[in-house]
Amino acid sequence: MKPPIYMDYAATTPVDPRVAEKMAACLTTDGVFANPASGSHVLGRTARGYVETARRQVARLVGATPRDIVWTSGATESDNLAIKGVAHFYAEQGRHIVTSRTEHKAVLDTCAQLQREGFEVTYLVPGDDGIVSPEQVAGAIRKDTVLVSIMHVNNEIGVIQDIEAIGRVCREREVLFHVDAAQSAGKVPIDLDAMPVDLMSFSAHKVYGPKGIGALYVCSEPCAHLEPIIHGGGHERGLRSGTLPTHQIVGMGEAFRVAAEELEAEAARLTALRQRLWDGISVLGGVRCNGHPAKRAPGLLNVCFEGVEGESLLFAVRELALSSGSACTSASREASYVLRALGRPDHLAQSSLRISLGRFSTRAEVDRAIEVINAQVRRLRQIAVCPESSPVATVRDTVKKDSP
Amino acid sequence: MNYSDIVIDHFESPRNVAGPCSADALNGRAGSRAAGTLVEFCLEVDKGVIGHAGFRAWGCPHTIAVASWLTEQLPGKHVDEVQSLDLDHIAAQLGLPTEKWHCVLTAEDALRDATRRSLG
Repeated sequence: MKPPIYMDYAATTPVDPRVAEKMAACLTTDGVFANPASGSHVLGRTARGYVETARRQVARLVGATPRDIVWTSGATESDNLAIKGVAHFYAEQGRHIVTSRTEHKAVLDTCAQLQREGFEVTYLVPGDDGIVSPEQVAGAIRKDTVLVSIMHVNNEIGVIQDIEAIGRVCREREVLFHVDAAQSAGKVPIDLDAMPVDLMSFSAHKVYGPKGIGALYVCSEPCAHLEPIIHGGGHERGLRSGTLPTHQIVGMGEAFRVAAEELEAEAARLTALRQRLWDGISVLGGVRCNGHPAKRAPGLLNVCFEGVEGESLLFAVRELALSSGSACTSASREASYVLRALGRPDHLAQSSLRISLGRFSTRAEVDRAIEVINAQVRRLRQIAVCPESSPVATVRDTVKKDSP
Repeated sequence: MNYSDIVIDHFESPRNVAGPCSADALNGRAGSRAAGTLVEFCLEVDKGVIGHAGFRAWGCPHTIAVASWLTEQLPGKHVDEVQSLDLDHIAAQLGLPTEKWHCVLTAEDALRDATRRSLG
């Protein structure tokens, strides 16, 4: 069987060949394998140089000062370090955190853990377009609030939050602001020099870098203090101990370097492909775009199809590697908590597809996806029972045009 | 989720997808959107014996496969015989995992709904 067409770039991306080449040069005896902390010999110092070059490359993509970048194992750890780190450091001043219902599990589960430790968390419900307003954040901040955590681009529906406006609210109220930027770095412009953000999480593997490496931006001016969660050796200013994985870090650096170079052209190309995809499938009728139609990341589209069931839809389009709006195709078929937070009923949340395009997506692939999705949705609708029209089952074709 | 060959076959090429059900045919349905499964049968019955059976289904591939498969099994059977289905037999025939037995139960309910009129 032919491998499916990859349309799940929001889940992860393949490593760019340019990145793989740089990484491979940091592993074996003829490469830069030494411990970057071994300042006593030239091999270690060379490795340190590679790590610092990568730190500058990551910082450059997001407009940060290199010393504010802390290496972690990925965005999940970055989220943990930011949220637990702030909560534990500032626990004397307050024990309240503000976040939203549509955050990544790395944020939600971390907040849930803090609740078990006695912290209070306010979960904002975004509008039905997926957007959290700055006014909502302002209304939720209390005297004892120590942190606001709102993601930049949502991993399921792709909407872009107004980070600048939310950040300004946080600065006015003197509350630290953390942003999970795992899905936005390299896809939408980020300028931390100008943005009122104190902490920002990054991942390499969403940007054609390797899995297992990420970073946390920790603003030093004004200074955000963190209580570390991993101890041992005092690496990374004491915020994250552990031997630095040179090959992973070099991979992330190169990935972010390439992303900085290609961001603008790639964003335009992917936006055009996404529009082509939407134009192609919206002719079906009974198709809705989940999340704000315009404020969205270039390559991500989340669509719900009326009149088809989620598991069947996902299996019918298995020629395409993509995600469903359902948590998984498990027995429980639990609908996505993100789509539910947007007010989508379960059955529509379940019959949603998350289609995410990326660097290696082509027009031919998009055209094939349109063909497959349209044919299968039409087929499944013909088999389907329509609940409102008994006994003669006809296919309801409610055309609702909302173009992303 | 893994699907057996027979489930894939019926999912890809469903048999006897019902068109409009004629007035003298038996029509019945069960399930709900909220439950994730809806099945409808349209049975042509002569003297209590099923002639042609058609289906519609909104649900997972197993639901579609069970309903489609049943339309091949039903002709020739008396309506009394289809009041309760042999769950183990069907699950074994179609390779249904236990968490998918509700697909058969919904189909059974739809058959009972269709035949309740003829049973008076």
